[in-house]
Amino acid sequence: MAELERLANHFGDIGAICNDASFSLLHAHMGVLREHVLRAAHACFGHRLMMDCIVPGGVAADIAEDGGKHIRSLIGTVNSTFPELVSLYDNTASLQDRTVTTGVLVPELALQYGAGGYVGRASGRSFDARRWPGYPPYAKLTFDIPLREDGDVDARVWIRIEEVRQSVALIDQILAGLPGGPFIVDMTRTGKARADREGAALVEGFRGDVFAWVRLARDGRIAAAHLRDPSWFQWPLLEAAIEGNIVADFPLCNKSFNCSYSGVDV
Amino acid sequence: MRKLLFKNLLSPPLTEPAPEADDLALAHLARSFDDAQRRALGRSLSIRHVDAGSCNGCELEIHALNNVFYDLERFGLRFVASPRHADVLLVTGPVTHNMRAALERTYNATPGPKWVVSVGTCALDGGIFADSYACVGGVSKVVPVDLHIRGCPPSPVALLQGLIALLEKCAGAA
Repeated sequence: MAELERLANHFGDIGAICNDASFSLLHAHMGVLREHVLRAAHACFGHRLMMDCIVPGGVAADIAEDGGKHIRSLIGTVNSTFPELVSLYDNTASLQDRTVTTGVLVPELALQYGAGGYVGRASGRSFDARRWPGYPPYAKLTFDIPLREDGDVDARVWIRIEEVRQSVALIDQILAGLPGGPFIVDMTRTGKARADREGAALVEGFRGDVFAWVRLARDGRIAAAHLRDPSWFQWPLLEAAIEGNIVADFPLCNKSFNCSYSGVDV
Repeated sequence: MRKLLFKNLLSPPLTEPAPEADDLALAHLARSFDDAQRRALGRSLSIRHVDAGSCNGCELEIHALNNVFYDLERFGLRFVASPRHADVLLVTGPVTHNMRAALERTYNATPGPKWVVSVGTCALDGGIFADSYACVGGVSKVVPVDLHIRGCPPSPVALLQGLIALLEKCAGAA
């Protein structure tokens, strides 16, 4: 699900960045790919954005019986259309003119602010929560973490393109090794625990590492919680990246960061 | 690029046929239109989207309306950048206290005749944010709502069904 979400959002972002350079052809094509991913998600998990599909103890429902078929057909579509679109991006001089050397984020700042996701990885910071601290099943899967040093809009687009390729390969591997057995364990418990309990997790979302911390009271209710969106470390860097750029390039810089509004408001 | 464009010329469009107008929405809308308004607006509506504290899930699906599968503009519906240009306010989110004044001001800045369409469970009654100290809870507590589109978030098809119902009422076809 995380890799499908990464696919959908990276497609959307790549298209939207091109659209901000008035190259709507790629926007339309990427929109098609994004819609294909959302429809496959709906067919497999019952929700286009896969909301409420992951619950305490596991997943809310098993993948649909014909889910594998939907995902394989999606991967087929991506494999047959994406490379052509990538070469269109790479070979269109008017588009490259807008993205290359635009909105440069220097590696020092990315490191200083601990920027994750494509923002960090386009500026030389290779952090990826799937690799470190890591969480199942990624240790058993083979994937690369793309890295660039240039830190411009073009680099952030290329990180996304590479991550699309990695995610497609990951989905292939996950599908091949899909385990049987129960998909959820019962988390309800009776009686009171001896003390408050708390836990934290770091998960690699499409924007970068999402941190979550929850403390449960003795009766099992949530006593306190904190969610940290990756955009917390990316919004301030956008300000640094747009410095010295022309006003017309602001939408490009902004879209290449694609920071979350609601994620930071949480 | 030429090859891709040529291929697009030869392949059939991906745009899907329009869904039927939502019956529930049609019934709901019956009271909010009169003939004078229909004549003024014809079969075209400009929409201003207002995020009143949404999780952005509704926004993702609203954006999807512009992709080639749903192609909102073929219905004469388009998004505009200012409430001054709008006939319809499309409001998402449980209306946080911080966004209340903004929503009211947007409503007041929209010239009549105007309609408010609330989108998503949060906009109906606050959804999972209902009774939160940060939320007013539901768009109708702040501005009068003419149509509600259900879902968390509503699918693009559900959004289209609601908006087409609004158009049909507007054009006097229903």
